[in-house]
Amino acid sequence: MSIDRPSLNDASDRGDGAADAETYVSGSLSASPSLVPDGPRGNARLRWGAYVFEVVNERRDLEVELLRGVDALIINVDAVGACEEIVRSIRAHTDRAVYLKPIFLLDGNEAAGPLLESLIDGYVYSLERLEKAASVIKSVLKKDEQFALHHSVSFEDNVITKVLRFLVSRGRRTVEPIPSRFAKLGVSYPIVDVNYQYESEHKALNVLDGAEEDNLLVGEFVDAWYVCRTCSESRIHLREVCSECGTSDLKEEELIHHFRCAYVGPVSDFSGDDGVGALSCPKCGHHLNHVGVDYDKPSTIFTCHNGHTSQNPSLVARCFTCGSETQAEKLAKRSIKSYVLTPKGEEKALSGVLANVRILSEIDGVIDFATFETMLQFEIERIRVTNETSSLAVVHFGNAGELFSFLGRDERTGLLTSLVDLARTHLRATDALSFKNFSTLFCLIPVSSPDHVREELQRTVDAFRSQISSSYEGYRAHVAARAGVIPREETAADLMKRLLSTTVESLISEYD
Amino acid sequence: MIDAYLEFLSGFGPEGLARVFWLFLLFELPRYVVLDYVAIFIYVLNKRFNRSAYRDARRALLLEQPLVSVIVPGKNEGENFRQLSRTMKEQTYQNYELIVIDDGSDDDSAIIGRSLQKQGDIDLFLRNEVRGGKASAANLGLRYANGTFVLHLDADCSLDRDALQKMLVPFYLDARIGAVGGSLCVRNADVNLCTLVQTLEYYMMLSLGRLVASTLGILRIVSGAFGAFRRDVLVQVGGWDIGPGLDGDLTVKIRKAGYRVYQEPHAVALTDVPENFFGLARQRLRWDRSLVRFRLRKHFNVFVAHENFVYSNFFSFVENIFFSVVLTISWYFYIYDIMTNYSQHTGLILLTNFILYAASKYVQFGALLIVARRKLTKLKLLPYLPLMVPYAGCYLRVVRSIAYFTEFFFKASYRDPWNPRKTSRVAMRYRL
Repeated sequence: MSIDRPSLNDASDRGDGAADAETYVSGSLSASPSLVPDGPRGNARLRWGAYVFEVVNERRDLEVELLRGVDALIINVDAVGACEEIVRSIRAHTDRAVYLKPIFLLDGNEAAGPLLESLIDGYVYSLERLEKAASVIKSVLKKDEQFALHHSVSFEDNVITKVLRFLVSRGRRTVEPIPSRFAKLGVSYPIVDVNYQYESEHKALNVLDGAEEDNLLVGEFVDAWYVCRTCSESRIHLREVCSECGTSDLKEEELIHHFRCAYVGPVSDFSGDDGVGALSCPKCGHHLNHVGVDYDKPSTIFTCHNGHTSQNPSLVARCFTCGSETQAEKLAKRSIKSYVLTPKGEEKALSGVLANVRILSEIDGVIDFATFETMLQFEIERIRVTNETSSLAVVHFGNAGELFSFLGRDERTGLLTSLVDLARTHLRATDALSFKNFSTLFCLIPVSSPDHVREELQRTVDAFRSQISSSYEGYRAHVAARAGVIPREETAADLMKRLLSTTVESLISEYD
Repeated sequence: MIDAYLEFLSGFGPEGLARVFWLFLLFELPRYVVLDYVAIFIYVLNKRFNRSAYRDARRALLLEQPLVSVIVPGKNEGENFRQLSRTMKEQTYQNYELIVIDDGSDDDSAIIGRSLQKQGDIDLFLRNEVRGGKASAANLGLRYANGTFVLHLDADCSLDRDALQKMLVPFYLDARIGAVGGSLCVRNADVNLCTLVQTLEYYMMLSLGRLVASTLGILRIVSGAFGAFRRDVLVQVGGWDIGPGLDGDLTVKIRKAGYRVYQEPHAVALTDVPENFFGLARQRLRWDRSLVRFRLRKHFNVFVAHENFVYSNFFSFVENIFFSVVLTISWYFYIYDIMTNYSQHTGLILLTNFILYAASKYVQFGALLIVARRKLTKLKLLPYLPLMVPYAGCYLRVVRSIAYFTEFFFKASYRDPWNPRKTSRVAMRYRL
């Protein structure tokens, strides 16, 4: 079975020595593995069917940047700590070609633990049998194709997009908190935390909460955590201190009430020097023998070494990291949730753009995408019969996410509307327009010449770029357009996918 | 009719009148009218001639500014805590620490107390999870008090702004004074007849009566609701012992230790009194039983000649026992005497007794007005003074009788739920 796919991992991108030795080979997914001549620094590269695996045996042998040239990584490192380091360095990368890379552990090593397992794609039990791994890679790559180019000036936006894309590409729906004594917050959301240094790990919660506010994820309450107000550290040392002077040198004693003479005082008032623990009343001199009959202990009292007394000393927390002291009731409360992906989150993962789906339906002059796809399929059927030439065009706004991240709802709608209006000035009324997502506009131009369509499209793109440049100073819109004859053999979905991929590739070439 | 009545009276002649009205003429008139005026006269003269001494004492107090520990024990008094802290904040004398002791409350008192402590309105809030009784709660407060003086208050008391300062001055007037009682008045006077008569009683008995006793050196009780003590004296006598009547018991212990007790009529506190006669009876049964339990049993040695015998203590006890116990019993004999020997004129004799006692109340009230503040407020009560006759003469006397009888023969105070059973059981076992 050949896997014919447009890929950002073209051989020409790979800068390693293996590039010359590797070619895509059509074959069965269940084919026997073949070793590729040595990869960098002693790592083995393994081909299984159409996929190339890099097998990492030592931490120091991994060059993360070169992972673009392989389809997956197999880690054959004994220590879990080293494994985690490798996996985290990959998942923390900013390049989608790296951070979404499927990663497998070669079984037989130490148990990975929930933190590591949430970041990898599974285990391989033998380098001879990689069917399951290949299946995972196929699934991930298929999803990866659908992801639009995304780059935002907002670090948090980039992080949440990474998280969403990881979930979507793996078919996962939840981000679960995992208790960890190494995590600053005491819990880890591994796929989020990898993007932060320890000092900033608490911001992972902010990112997830922000995603929940934007309806990209739905949070379900798991627990409430109390952390340092200053640095959000969860490792805090709680102790009782004197409410007058703040010392923790407190002595707690039970109070004794002697029924016979009504004297009440701490146990030390009643204790003698005999060393046998006998209790004797300092007021009347009688011995206290039987609790409940001679005496009882109605409460306790705290006395500090400065002589202050209280029954309710203050509970103060000291942070292990920054050393700040806070009263326990004033610790910052963080809600720990598990998060579930929403349809809007999936949309964000695909387009990289956060928006209310309803906005697209509010734009005049466009039809919904499902209807457009149907119309395109009808057009394909029609030209099969009539032998006419019709064109399909696409306009792709590559860095829409970057601009949209600081635009309000109305501004986003206005921007997309202006794109449609510009397209309409260069197209006919009979031509159908539809947004696949916020960054991609398809145009169906029946009975048309592709050259003419390209010219009109280019004018549209130029005008759009110009409009954005004048409206948003310092922002350069990455917009590209492609038009092509509608072939008779392809399906509407395949046609649109191919055309979009080509457009995205050209955009990347132009702006990278 | 009046003529007939006067003729009836004149028919007795002087000896007859003395025979018929012996209870009033022998005891009520000398003790509660003549002696009151003598004592008030002495008090006024003392004050006039000791003005400079009083001024010096006040100056010494204000210069020294001793810390006063205000101890407020109670159960389920949370609703009074805010008012309490407010009344203390209004005091002209501000060097105090407010110690509130919650004795096993089962309402929101603990929450309120801790909240007020957090806000700084209460300096030390102590709670006994298990109720131990008022004495133990007061002793707990004493144990952690840091003041030179201790002011013991009921939680529902509010004070005149200068009350605390006025309570402290006597300690600087005479170094032998170990305890000072304040003038306790009724806050809810106008609720109903029950509170009205108690208002009159508090003026006549608690304010005037104790002032007279103090002037004569025989004051036997510093009210637990509003009393100030030297802390070293309290510690010396071991603080409070199991009640009821723990305030009277403490006062006796202080006197027996050789200290004087003093009544300050111008240090005024207000408190709420029972608003129905049933609740009032329960309160007075408890108070009156303590006379038998403490004065006749625990402190019987006051009557006995021993190395620490003090005449003033002896006379204080004698006066108390006589006018409380003996006269109460005598009253029954008197009624029997009248009904037996003057059966045809019982009604008129009782009417005459009413008139005589009522008149004596007015005369007595005059003595109160000489020394009291807020005279106008008190003058408004004049029309109700005759109510004191049936109230004190009948109602309180009957209650007192029941109290003495049940305590003397059945030791009823040991079963009073005012004290927790665990302490009453021990008190009973050791006859405390």
